[in-house]
Amino acid sequence: MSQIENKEFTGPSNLSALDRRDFMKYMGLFSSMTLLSSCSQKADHIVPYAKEVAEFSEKNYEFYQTAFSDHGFAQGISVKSFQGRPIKIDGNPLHPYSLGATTPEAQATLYELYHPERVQDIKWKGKTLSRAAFTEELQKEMAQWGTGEGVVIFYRPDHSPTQIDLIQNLLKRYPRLHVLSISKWKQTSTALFDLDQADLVVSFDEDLFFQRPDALLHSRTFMGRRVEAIRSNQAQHLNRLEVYESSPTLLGAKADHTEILRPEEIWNDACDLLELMRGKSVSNPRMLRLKSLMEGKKTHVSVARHLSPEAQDLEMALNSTTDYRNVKHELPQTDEFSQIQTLVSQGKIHTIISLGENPFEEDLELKKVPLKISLSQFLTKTLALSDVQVGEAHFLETWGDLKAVNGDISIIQPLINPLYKTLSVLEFLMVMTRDSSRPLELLKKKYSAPWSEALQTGLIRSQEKLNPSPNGNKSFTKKSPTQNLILKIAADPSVGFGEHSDNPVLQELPKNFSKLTWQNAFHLSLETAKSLKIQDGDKIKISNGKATATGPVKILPGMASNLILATLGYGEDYGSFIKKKRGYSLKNFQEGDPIEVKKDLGSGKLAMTQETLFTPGQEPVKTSPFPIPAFTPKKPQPSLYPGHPLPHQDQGPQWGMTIDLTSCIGCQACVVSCQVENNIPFVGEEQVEKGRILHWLRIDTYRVNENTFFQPVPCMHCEKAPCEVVCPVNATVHGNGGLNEMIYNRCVGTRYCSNNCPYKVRKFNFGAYSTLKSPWNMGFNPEVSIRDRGVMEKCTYCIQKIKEGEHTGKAVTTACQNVCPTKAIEFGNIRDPGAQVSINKATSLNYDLLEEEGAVPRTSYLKVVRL
Amino acid sequence: MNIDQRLSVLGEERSSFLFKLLFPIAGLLTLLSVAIFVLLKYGVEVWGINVPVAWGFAIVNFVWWIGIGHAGTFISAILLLVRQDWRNSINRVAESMTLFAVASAGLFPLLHMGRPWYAYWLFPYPNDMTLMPQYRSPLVWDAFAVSTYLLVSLIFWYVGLVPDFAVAREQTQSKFKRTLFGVLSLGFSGEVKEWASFKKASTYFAIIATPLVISVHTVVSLDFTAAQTPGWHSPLFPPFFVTGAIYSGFAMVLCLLILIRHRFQLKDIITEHHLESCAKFLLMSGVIVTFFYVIEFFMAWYGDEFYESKIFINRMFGKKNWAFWLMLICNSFFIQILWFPRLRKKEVVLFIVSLIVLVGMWMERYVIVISSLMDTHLMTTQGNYVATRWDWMLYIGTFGIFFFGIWLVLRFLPFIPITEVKELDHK
Repeated sequence: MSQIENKEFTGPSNLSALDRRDFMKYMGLFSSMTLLSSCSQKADHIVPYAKEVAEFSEKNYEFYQTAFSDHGFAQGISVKSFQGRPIKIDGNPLHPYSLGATTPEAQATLYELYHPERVQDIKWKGKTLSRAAFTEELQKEMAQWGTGEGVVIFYRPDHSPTQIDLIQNLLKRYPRLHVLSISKWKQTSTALFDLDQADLVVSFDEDLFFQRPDALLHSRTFMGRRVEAIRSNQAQHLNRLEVYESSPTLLGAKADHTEILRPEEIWNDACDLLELMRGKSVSNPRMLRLKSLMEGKKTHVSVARHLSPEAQDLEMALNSTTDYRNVKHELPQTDEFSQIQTLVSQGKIHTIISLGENPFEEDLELKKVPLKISLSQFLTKTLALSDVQVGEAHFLETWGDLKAVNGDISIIQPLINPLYKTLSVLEFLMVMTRDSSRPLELLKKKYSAPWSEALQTGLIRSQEKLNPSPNGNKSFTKKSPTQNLILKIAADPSVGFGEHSDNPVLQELPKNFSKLTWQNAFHLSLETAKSLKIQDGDKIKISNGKATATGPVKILPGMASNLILATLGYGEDYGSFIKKKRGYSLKNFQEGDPIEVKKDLGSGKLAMTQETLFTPGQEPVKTSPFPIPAFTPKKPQPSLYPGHPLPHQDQGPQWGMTIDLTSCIGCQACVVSCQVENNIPFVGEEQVEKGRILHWLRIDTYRVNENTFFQPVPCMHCEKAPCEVVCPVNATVHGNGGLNEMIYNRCVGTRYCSNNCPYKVRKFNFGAYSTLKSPWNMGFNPEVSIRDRGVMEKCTYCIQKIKEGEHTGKAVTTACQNVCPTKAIEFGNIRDPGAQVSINKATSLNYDLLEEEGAVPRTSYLKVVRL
Repeated sequence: MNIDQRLSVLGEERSSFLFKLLFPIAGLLTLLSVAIFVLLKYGVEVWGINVPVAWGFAIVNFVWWIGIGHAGTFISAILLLVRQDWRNSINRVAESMTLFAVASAGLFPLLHMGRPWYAYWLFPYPNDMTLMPQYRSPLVWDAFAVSTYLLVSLIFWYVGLVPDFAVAREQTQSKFKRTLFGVLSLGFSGEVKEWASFKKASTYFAIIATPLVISVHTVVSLDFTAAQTPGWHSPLFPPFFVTGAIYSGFAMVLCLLILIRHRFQLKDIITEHHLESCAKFLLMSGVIVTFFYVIEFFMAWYGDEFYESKIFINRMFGKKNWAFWLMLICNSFFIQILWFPRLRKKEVVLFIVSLIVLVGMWMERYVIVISSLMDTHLMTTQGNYVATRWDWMLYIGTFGIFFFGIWLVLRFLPFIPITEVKELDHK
């Protein structure tokens, strides 16, 4: 398997011309090759079954439970593998921080595994080494370390107990070693609380639904309770959400009441709330209102960490009455990064080892460090400037373990033999600790008892006692409110802090509110932009006195005044062709920096998938009051024409879908899941800019009267489909299950169907988009056709899954439905009155998008219920 | 020099001038070949089209060229049937124009496809899977209408040429041409019986061609009318398109006639009367087209349909409003000077107005195709369209086909109908 490069063997062209000497040479070569291959290190093999095993005979793919590192914590996933290749990732329903859902990042990780520009071997000062030679070299080097003085190890802050053990072992052996991690997503303490118990959820600028290791759990529990209350019309069970935010968040979009405030105002409000709770009198109308709402309600309050270094303490104090717990997760750390910087400039560091980190992106006087060793999956500045460059294995290729936020442990198990000569962080640390066993043995030793169960369920329940946080009486200092133009720094909604910047699928995933792809921009409110005389797309240069950054402006409704939101994850000079030289970097900028703006630098491009959030005169997202009115079946619209019944409508299931817009939080996991399941290629920045993104499912985002709405739009599978009538060659037709089917082979590419589709869900292969660089195509789903240049394509309701359901008799679920953290998408047989989709359609909340077009869509929406 | 002699050797007399014309034409054809090569190599991604603007320059140009063709058939068929004898001296130029305009037009729907090599799937042909086209689609009607039109135009043009080939056969000095024209004239010798048959055939083909003038552009307009897309879905389109076609067609006829008349010194054969008659048609169709513009807006307002109104407001004030205003100025404003009889006899005035009308009619198709598609039902799917250099190259390149065709006629064929002019002379 490791011989992935399938180089053709070219023997001597004319065998009969072999003389005796040549013959002996070849024989010698072949026999030495045979011998050499048999004396290599004992390896773990992942081999296909030679004989068919009964349990796998009905389908030819398998599922394995493993874990994805979501900001260092485990997100349980279940990986579908076809003939030894992982091809799709779904959530692990048993895992408490997945509950069957996944984040877009976990879905898209296959595009990192099969990335053509991964670091593929071990290079020691320019020389390619085998793993054994590398082990020898490194251990020779380490023999001179003594107490470890002058050696720095940067490691990725994953909460892997085995990894931490190994680092502790290293520290024991080399007590003066410097160990630290500097990833911006590092988290050493997390809050534990049950949102389904909270009657009122208050957030001070914190997005509980997004980019947190517990985001999936929070989305599920909060929305689960809300939807249950709505469906049963129980007002007392309905939870309330109050959000105070400085820039748009997914949580704020779902709030019953949102206040847009500057960060320091939010901090002061949170401090005021604490004073009110402690019985002091405060003249803050916002907090007085909130306090009155909190009466008699079980309330959870969260405070964003970026507001102040004391934010966590304030959060603890504000939640002192509930079962809120704050849990510390230890990660070994001997120094702060600034100390390392000083040591390096003093010339006291002789070796830097970076394990999956990128410290050289920061200011370090590297000339004074003689030996730099870097382990990395992709080219980074650190890797490029290192003397020893080691390729890092993807987590789907390795053994490991990872802790969830609540302490539960998941075993990371490999699904594929390493594609390249790479090492995992764990293996690297094992080389350093002179542990000659294999990671598998190490893990088996640690988790001996529940081993096979742990692999099957993907979970080892934590026995750790999690203590409630101390109930302190600490008081907090308020900040003086200003109206200066200041900077807010956030992770990029798609590529995060940069850890996913090499992933093309995430690069092309439209950012939740700005709908930008492949780049970052500066976001400000319309009023601020007007006062600065800046328009959408204008290039600006921001400066804080120490550094500058240049990029285009994208105005966002819902931003606080005089606040510039800038996102991380871009602007690096090193990286694969996906990451390199995109957007601006925020190096040397700090949260809250006062900012000066230089404008008139021309205009920059904005590769957006949606130009405006406003929809004057239209109501694509409908709202309903609470309690919801009783259901009255819709009367058919009068028509002069006789209805034309669908063929075979009396036979077999009729497929339909409902999407609950109350519970859709706009996280876009469904978009990526659809993309991976259906082999939808990414098209690149230039093509997105030209309006040729291929996503079959998009999230339309609207802003109506200060409220934000998300609306996932797949193909509607209209019963009277406008696309079918205009196709000149019968390439799009109606199937028995009521599906609007697309026959790729028959399509000649007139694109008339797209013109006639009111929803514009049809996507066209303007170029040869599906010709991805090898080995990205290894991740393609073998059950879905690859679409050629010049062919129309669109959502098929995952017809391959429907067919599989027909064969196996199991319930059919679509890819988008599977990963939805809030279960907003329901799919099923609308002829079966007991199916959830039929129940949903028989409520007063059900409505059709663009009903006036008379296309009778099978996909319908459930109105947003507003209090 | 009698008329026979004079008219049959027009091309030969000016062969050196015509030879020089070959260079720009060759340039245009090179442009066309490069544009087609790049298109086939990389696919339609080299164009500016996208979702939602899935139809772009290709369809704009197709409709424009087809429209231009219409005046030819109108002049040769309808004016023949209604016995407008003045048409006789210009009908060959008009018909040739039709032929090559339709040929240029026909290129676009073919190249516009994502997979043009399967274009034959639009026609019913026997195959082992018994697959037939989907007859509800206007594109299938289009395929039939345009191919019929091309075929009928070709036959009609050729039938009219038969006696002239006979004259040219007698007049030419070159041996090669004598043989060629001999074959092409089908042995026409000028007997009374032959003349009677010729007259009859001309009338029959005129009768067949006449409904095509109406039907082809009607069917083309149904591509838009039959769609559910706002801005397209309008029963006004068939007459609107036909009038527009005649409008642009007469503009092109006038341009060609003025150039030919000027260059070949045919002021006695293509007289001011001809120019004025064409100008009157131009004025009439221009006024009707303007009327349709007004009606379109009236219907959008009167119909009070949200998406339709939105489109018409955006036409005036939206992203591509320059196209709309340019169209309106070109098509409805400048044409008004033709109300003055003195001006509509002036070559220069007519030439400039015709060129403006040609630009205006191209803009009209641009507005209908592109700005309607940009404005979708949902605000989230609003699109934009920027034509690329390959779009422009292909468009400009098709002038190569058109002018090369016209050039061949001018150089080698009697482009003023000898027999019909003589007939007129006798009267």
